[in-house]
Amino acid sequence: MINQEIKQMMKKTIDFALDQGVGACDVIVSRGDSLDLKAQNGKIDKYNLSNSQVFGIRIIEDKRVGIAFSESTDEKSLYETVKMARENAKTSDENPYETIEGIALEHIVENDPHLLQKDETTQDEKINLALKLESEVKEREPRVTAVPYGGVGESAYQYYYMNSPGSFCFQEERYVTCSTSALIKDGSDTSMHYHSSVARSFDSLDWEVCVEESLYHATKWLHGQAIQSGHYDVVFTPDAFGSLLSCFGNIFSAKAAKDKVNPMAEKLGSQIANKDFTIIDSPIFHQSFVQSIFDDEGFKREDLPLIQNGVLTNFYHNTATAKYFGVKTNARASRSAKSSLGIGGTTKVIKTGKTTDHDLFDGTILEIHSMDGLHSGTNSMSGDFSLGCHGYLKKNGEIIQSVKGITVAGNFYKMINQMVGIGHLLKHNASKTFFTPLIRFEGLSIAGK
Amino acid sequence: MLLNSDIAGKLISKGLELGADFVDLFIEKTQLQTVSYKSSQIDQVQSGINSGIGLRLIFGNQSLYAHSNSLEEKTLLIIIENLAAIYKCDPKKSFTGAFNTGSDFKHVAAFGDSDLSLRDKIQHVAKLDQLIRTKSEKIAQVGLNLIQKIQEVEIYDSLGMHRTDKRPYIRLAASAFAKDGDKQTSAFHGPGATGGWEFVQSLNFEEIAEMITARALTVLGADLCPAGNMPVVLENGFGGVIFHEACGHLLETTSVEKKASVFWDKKGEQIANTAVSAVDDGRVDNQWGSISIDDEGMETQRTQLIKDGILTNFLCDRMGEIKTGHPRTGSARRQSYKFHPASRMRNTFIEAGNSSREEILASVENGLYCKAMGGGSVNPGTGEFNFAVEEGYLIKNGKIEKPVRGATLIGKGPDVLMKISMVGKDCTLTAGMCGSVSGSVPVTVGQPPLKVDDILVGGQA
Repeated sequence: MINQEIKQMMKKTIDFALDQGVGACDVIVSRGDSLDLKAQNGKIDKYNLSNSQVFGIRIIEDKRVGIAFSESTDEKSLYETVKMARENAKTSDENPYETIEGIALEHIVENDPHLLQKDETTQDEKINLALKLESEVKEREPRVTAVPYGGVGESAYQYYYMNSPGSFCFQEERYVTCSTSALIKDGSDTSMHYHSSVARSFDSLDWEVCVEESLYHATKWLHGQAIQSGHYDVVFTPDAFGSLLSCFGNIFSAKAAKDKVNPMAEKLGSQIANKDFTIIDSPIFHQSFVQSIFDDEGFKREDLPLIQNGVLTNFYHNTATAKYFGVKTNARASRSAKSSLGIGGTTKVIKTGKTTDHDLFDGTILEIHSMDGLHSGTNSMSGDFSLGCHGYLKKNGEIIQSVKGITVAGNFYKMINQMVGIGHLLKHNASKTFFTPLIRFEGLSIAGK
Repeated sequence: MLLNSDIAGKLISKGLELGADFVDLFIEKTQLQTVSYKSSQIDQVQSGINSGIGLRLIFGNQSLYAHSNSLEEKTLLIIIENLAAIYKCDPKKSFTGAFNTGSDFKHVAAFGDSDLSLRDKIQHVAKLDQLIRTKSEKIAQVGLNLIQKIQEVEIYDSLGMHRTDKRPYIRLAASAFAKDGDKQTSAFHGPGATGGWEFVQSLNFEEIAEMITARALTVLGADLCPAGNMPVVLENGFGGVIFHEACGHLLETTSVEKKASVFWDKKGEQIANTAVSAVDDGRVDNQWGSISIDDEGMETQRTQLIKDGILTNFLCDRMGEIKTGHPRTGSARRQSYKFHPASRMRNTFIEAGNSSREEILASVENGLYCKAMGGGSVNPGTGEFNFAVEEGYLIKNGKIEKPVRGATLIGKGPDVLMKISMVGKDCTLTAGMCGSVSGSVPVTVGQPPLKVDDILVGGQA
């Protein structure tokens, strides 16, 4: 629930800034508490408790923006932070687009059962779950040499936003996680897989799936081999496709377009993908794990079509990019207490197609489950990617070979025009933040044997 | 002093009273300033202060950790009680109450700065923007980030150790974006150091502008790299990311203690070609990855990891020492007080060998020359690594031929180390950031030019 002391402290800081001659300002406070438990060799090996709070202010003074933050929230530190922000503004160039104005808005997401659930799990039960995640993996497969990653986590988070025109927003949430991994060795072959589960309460965590998935894939890939180099039709799992798509997220950014680093900056209204490809940014998608009702300038969010039937229809906007391009904000401002004003999306949902699983997996396809080096093997400007990956070679839907030691390469902007089937069932990634049907892409370049 | 020693003593005593074998406190105050310069003007100026404390209690070989923004004695005592509740037992040790405050360690960072105002510093950096833009009309955008950070740390432990350190960091990150019709690409260069403004003043902007523009334009006009197994020549400097990923992470006791490294039981054994000797050195003056003391208060050191192909040492922190018996190497590092310390790399490089660059290239009939590398990653348990080639060229009959783009190198660390057959003479170091269990820390990677006889190159099949 809202901590009134924090709310008053925010108001007091804004009043202080305005008294100093600042034209407008906004303040973000984020607070978090978390617990992280890890087991090793039948004992709790790591037990981490954290408690953090950060306060960030953005001021506009003489059309210049200044940002500062502090993790100390005593009155003196807050006033020092205002002074730092003012100094930074004085150093900045004029920015006629970034403003803090408009009517006072209020969005309060408090005690929302979707985001914050009562949970009376005891510490002993959490410890037992962490121990079980390790022991189950070891007991079920004798070739497991270690469970190097995994454990149990709990995190509670509060977010406060207030600005000088009078807006106030608040959201609180709590989530829990569990995860495990299996490192298997057989002769000179080694394999490892990790799986996690996230939920709003401990009894909703699917620890059994974590154990099963870790063992299933680690076992399958233990004796996996590279396939012959060539061009293969590829289906990515939702986790793999979501990760790849996020590397090219700049194509939806009005800020990147303004900064001349969005390769699709001039393509708004143009066909950039297969005509059956539609993707929507959906802040309150009912199946999503996250709900994002307001943005980091306090504006209410609504569904935003990004690509409709292959046509690029919208960019993410905050008020600054909207002003620059002469449009209205679509409430995709993104800013943390420590960062400057940017843009960001919410849950992405790709519309289902008509292709059945039978047709999607017809013939020989490579199903890619995980990719390595996404941070370095992708180029968001050119669209090129070249990545190490694991997966399964399938024939008519049946696994005929476990595959590792290969790379997949292509150009993302060409690839989204090379869809030969969009599945009829909506699936999601492990964290339930990305929803997509399975999509078959034609002829990606695979380097193997 | 960030935390009064009386309070530190009370916290440590409390931890020991509750049965801990060892207690340490890591207090931090970091001032951060970043300037973003884009479209030939100041985009953002931002500053802030991170401050807080990390408290660790070790019971046997289990570690309990908590962090907080608060330095209030009452709050911190409650945190210690909560932490200790999990393993609470009769006290085994008591605290003497006295701290040995030492400062007789080598200081790796020069604390120079200038009287220049931030505005003047930005005007200096802006010259690089102009230089890059004048190199080619195809440069569509330039982005510069100037990052300055001063991290003050104070460390107390139950053995009576008390150390303080002040670590200045500075980095100038430059990105150039090139466009030619529908073709677009980017190039990056980010030199950094432990030190002050004088580091930026020492940079040769003309050379940086030339290099980053050439890289962006080369990639812009390049064909896709052909895929397949082939010999690869890796240029010095950031080419060292291959060793960082293929081997360095596997020698951190953070992985070794869990047997989650393929090298966990290989000390004293041949794990690399005899041409390979490698070092992790935290003491190199002003290098981006240098630290005077590690985050457990131990003076850092030069650690010979591999000598003539033989594994000689692991990188070890206190928990690593407790769990594996390997000696500590002053390698405990963390992004901030919010992270439990872990054994991490510092300045990691392959030592110079005997081959000239010309000899190395001449030995390759058909292969890939990697002039500049991007980042990479590794799975320590299996040794599988990958890293991206930012600027690459095909080699034909010992000569560098046409440029190629979109290449990735993948393989297994143990296999690749055995296949490094030639090592060049001129080793250079390059700054980067390394992300792992204790967060993102500054490191340098480095090597002389070297040849890997056979590696899988991902690209156009």
